[in-house]
Amino acid sequence: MASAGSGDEKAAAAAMITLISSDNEKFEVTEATATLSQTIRHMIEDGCTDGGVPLPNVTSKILARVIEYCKKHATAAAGEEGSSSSFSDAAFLEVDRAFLEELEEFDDAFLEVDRATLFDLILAANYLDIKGLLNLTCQKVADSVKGKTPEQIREMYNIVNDLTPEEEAEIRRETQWAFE
Amino acid sequence: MTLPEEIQPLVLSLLSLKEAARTSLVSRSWRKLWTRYPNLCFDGSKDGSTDTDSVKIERAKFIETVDSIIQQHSGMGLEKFSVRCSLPMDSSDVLNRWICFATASKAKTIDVNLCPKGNYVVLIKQVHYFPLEALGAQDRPFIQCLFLTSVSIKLHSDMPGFTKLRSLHLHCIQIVGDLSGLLLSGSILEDLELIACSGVSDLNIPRQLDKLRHLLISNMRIQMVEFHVPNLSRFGYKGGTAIPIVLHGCSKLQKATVTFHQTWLEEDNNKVLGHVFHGIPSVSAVEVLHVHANMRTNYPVWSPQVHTLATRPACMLLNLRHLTYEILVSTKSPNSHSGVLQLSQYLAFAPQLEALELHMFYYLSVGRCWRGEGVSYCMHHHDHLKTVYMSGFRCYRAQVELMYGILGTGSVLEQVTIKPMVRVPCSPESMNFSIPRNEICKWAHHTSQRFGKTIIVAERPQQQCW
Repeated sequence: MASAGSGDEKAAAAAMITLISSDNEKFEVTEATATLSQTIRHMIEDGCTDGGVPLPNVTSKILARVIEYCKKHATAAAGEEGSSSSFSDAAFLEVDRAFLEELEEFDDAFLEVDRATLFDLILAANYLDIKGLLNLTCQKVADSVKGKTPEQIREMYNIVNDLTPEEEAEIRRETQWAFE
Repeated sequence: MTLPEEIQPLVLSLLSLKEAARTSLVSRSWRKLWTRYPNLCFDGSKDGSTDTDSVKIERAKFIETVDSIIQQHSGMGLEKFSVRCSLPMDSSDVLNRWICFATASKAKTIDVNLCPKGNYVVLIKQVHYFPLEALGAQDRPFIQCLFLTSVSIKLHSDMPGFTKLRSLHLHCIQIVGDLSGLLLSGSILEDLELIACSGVSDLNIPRQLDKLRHLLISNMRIQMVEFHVPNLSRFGYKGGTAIPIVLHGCSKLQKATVTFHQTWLEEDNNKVLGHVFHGIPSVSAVEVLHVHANMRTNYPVWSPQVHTLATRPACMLLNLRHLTYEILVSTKSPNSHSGVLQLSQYLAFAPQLEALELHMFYYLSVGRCWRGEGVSYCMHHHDHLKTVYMSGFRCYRAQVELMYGILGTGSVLEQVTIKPMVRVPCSPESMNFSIPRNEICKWAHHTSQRFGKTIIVAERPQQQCW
C-alpha cells in the first residue's frame, strides 16, 4: 500500500531502532514502527535507545509477531494522516475504505493463533503499551467469554469453582440487575 | 490454560457491564473483578438508546438499581459515569449521592442528562441542581469531560478543580453566575458546546482559549459572542442574525456550520442567505462551510436589481473550497422569489471554491417550472469550481438563472448534477410527489447543449414519479 505522507516516512526510515528479545535476538525496526509502543516512544524521547532496547519480558517468537503488527499499523497511521482532508471526497473515501478492509483482514488473520500465543501477545502488548494490539487481542478473549455461562468460562480457562452455595446466592442477589 | 491475572480486568472492560457483572459467579477471585469496570453508564429513558455502552434500566427501578451498582462498585479505575433519566423533583439527594460517588472515584467523564427525550425546546421550569462545586472539592482536579443536560448550575468567578477540563457540553442548563470563570479556569479546554442555556446574556470571554478547537453555540438567547480562539478548527452557530459574533484570531478554521433564523420582522428576506459573508468576518479563513437558511416571503416580487448586492460583503472567504447551503424557502410564488439567485453574487467572494452543494426546499409550493428565457448574469469567473450539486431543483426561475450563471462562468467545471428530489432533512415526503420530471429532464438537455456541459439529472432510487 503506497500511502500518502511518504516524505515523513522516509525521514523516519533513516532512524532505526534495535529491539532485543528475552532470548537475545535482535530486531531492526524503523522508528515509526517502534513508536506504536508508548513504552518505546518514551525511551526514544528520553534518548536511551542507543545500543538497542532490551525487552526481557518478550520472547523472539512473540516479538516477531508484535513487530509484524506494528509495521502494518504504522503504515495505516501514516496513511490516515495523509488523508486527513477536510473534504468528503468520494475517491478519498473509497481508498480509505479499501485500506481499512485490508487492515481488518490483516487483523483477523493475525488473531489466528493458539490461546497460549494469544495470552503472550496480550502480555507483550500490555508491557509495550501498544493500545491497538492490546485492544485487538483482549477483544478476542472477551468474545470468547461473551454469552457464556460461568460453568463454560470455568471450563475454558481451567478455573475451579470455589464459591459456596451461600456465596453464589449472595452474588445472585447483589447482581440481580445483571441477570435481567 | 489459565487467563493471566493482569489481563483479566482488561478483558472484562471489553464486555458490557451486565456481562462483566455476571462473571462474578465464576469463582471467588472473579467475584470482585467487575467492580473495577471503567464505565458506569445508566439509561432509564424510554427511547432506544444509541449508546451501546449503557445499561438499560426500567424507569421504575432506575434509582434503586443505580444505587445498588454504585454501592458494589469499588470506585477504582472509573473512567466514565453517565446517567440518562428523568428524575422526580423530590429526589435531589439522589443526584447528589451519585455525583458524590463519581467525584470520589475521580471519573474522568461525567455525563448527566435529566431530560433524555432530546427535546431542547421545551422549557422546563424546575430542574435539578447539579452540584458543580463537588467536582472542585477533591484533593486534585480530575474531570476531563463534563456533559450536562437539563440541570441548573451555579458558577463563581473562581472555580477550582477544572484545570483538566477538555470537553464541556451544556445543553438546556439554567446557569446562575458567570460562565467565563468556568471557561477560563480550564485553559486546556478543547471542545465547548452551549445549547439553549438560560441565564447567560452574552458570551464575552476576554482571555484567550488556546486549545479550543471546537465551539458550538446554538439557540442561546444572547446579545453577543466574543471569543479569542487562535486554534479553532470547527465552529457551529445556530440563532438569529442580529447579534455580533467575533472570534479573534481564528485563522485555522476548517469547518463552520451556521444556521440562521429569519425573524418575522426582517424585511430583507435575502439577508439570512448572505449573512455569513456580511456578518461574521471572523470565519473568513474557513475551508468548508455549511449554511442553513430559512427564508420566508409570501408574495415576493422579482426585483430587477437581483444581480447586484445592496452592500458589499465584509470579507472574502479566501480559503473556502467546499460550500454547502441548505435553503428553506417559504413562499406562495416560487418563480418570483429571487433569494437563491443572490448566491451567484456571493460566490465571487469565495474565489478558491471547488465544490458547491445546494439543497433547496420550497415550502408551500405548488409551483411550476419557469418557462421564461432566463438571463445569465455576468458573474465572476470561477477558475476552481469543479463540482456543482443541487437538490430540490425544480427549474424555478432563481434556480435556472443561477445555474445559467454558473455554467457560463465555470471554466473548469467537471460535474454538474441536479436532483429534483428534496434532500433537506425533515422535509415532508409529499414534497417529492408529482415532480415534473419530464420537463426538468428536457430543460437539462437543452441547457447542456446550450453551454456544452453535461448536466446529470440524478434519478430517484426506487420508482419514478412522473
